[in-house]
Amino acid sequence: MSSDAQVEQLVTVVDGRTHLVGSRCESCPTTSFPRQTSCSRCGSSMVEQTLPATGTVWSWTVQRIAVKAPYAGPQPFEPFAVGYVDLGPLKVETPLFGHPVDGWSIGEAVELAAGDEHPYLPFWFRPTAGGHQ
Amino acid sequence: MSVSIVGVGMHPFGRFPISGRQMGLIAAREALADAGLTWGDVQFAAGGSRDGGHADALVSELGLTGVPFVSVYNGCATGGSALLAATHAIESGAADVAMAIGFDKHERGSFASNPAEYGLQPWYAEAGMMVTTQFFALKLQRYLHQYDLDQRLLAELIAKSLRNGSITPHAWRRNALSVDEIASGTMVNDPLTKFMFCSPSEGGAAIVVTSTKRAKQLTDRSVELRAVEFRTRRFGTFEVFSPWLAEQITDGATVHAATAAFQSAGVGPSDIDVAQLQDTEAGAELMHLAECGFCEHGAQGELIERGDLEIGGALPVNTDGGCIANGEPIGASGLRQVIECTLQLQGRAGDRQVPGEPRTAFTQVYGAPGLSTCTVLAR
Repeated sequence: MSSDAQVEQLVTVVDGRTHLVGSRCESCPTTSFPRQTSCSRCGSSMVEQTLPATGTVWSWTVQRIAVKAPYAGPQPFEPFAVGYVDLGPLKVETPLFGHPVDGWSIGEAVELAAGDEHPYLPFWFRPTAGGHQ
Repeated sequence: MSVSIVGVGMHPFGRFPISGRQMGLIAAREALADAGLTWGDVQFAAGGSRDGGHADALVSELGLTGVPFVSVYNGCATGGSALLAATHAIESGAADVAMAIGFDKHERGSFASNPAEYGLQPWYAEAGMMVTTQFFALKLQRYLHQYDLDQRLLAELIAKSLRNGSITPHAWRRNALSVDEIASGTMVNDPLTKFMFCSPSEGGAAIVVTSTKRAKQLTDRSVELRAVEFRTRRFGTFEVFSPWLAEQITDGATVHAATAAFQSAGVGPSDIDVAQLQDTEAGAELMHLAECGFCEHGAQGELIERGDLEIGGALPVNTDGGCIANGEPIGASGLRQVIECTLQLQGRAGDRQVPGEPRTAFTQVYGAPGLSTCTVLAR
């Protein structure tokens, strides 16, 4: 299980809503996740940046075969969906919950979630309340 | 300085009761015999293995001649890097005879990866995202969507590789399967079924290169290495184990390595008579066809439906069954591709020989985390 400090670095709560914490380059238009100190594109220093809490599914698949340790999810293994969510300035890789595992479509609106429902995950995305954007 | 291949050697790919080092030695000795040379003639060697032991330690059995032997490791592209080093040694004039060697012996099942080695924190693996097959599926799912491609093409490519493997003596998987059997196999990561991935395996491969001038004196069947180009990823590519991707996805290392290889060789994709492309899974061959310039993105269906990629087609691809039929001993895999093209150009490919005396060939190997070596060979 990850330490609380590590999870704290990944998410933050602003006005009651959970956001991922990434970083933004001070010299070029690059946004990363998680936080990093120097920019992958230009090598300049980066500063902390709160990321949008909603986006759209950019790609997805299903993990149907049991994942080896240190995977910390349910035992016995339960298949789950995983994808990239397009947040605008970047796409983030994330577990997806809230549909049957193969019930996702590219372009579908999703929002960030975190909490006790999946205690081994620092965050995941779920369908946006109210459906497609 | 122009560089040519004068000898090739392989230990078959699959599962065997001998060590990876022994397979490397068998391949090296076969390549020397094929060239009509001895280990004492070799003035530079480069080799690599992930799980089979230190490549440079082969000298204790090949002979302690004092030869400079560089061990290399670049993931699935390790063989390409060994060949690059050997080629550079000839081009620079540092050596007149050089050898590239690769061998490996992997555990069964997919490769286990340690997050720290990729600069990632434990949460990424604990969340179940540090899985290579997931990456292949995510990249492919996006590609199929972006270019509106039918996922049945994946099963057709695998059926072709297994057909070619069934007539290749050194291949591991020798049983052909129907498109329906492949498509209806157990789903691993949608849209990829269990038949659509290559597996880690075992094997050895070695290539002897010399200056083209020396090659002409040694043999009348040498194959010129017109280009060996190696590139790593630039910003914005879509690679394995990426917690985030850039706003704009850019061309991968394969595009840049292939473009450079064609430029160095002074030929284009339409001049190629036979090609071996990295096919870690069905989507890799599909995408690499376009990344190397053999068709436009999204036009792969036409090549496949016309039978162009078959032995006897306009552009035979993975004539020995590729990684799908041979499995992937990481150190040897990239060299296998070059050996297969060499045999095809020499007319020594047996039942899988491409008809019409092919004269120009191409190979592309791609490895994590985002590097590619492409070669152009000519008779």
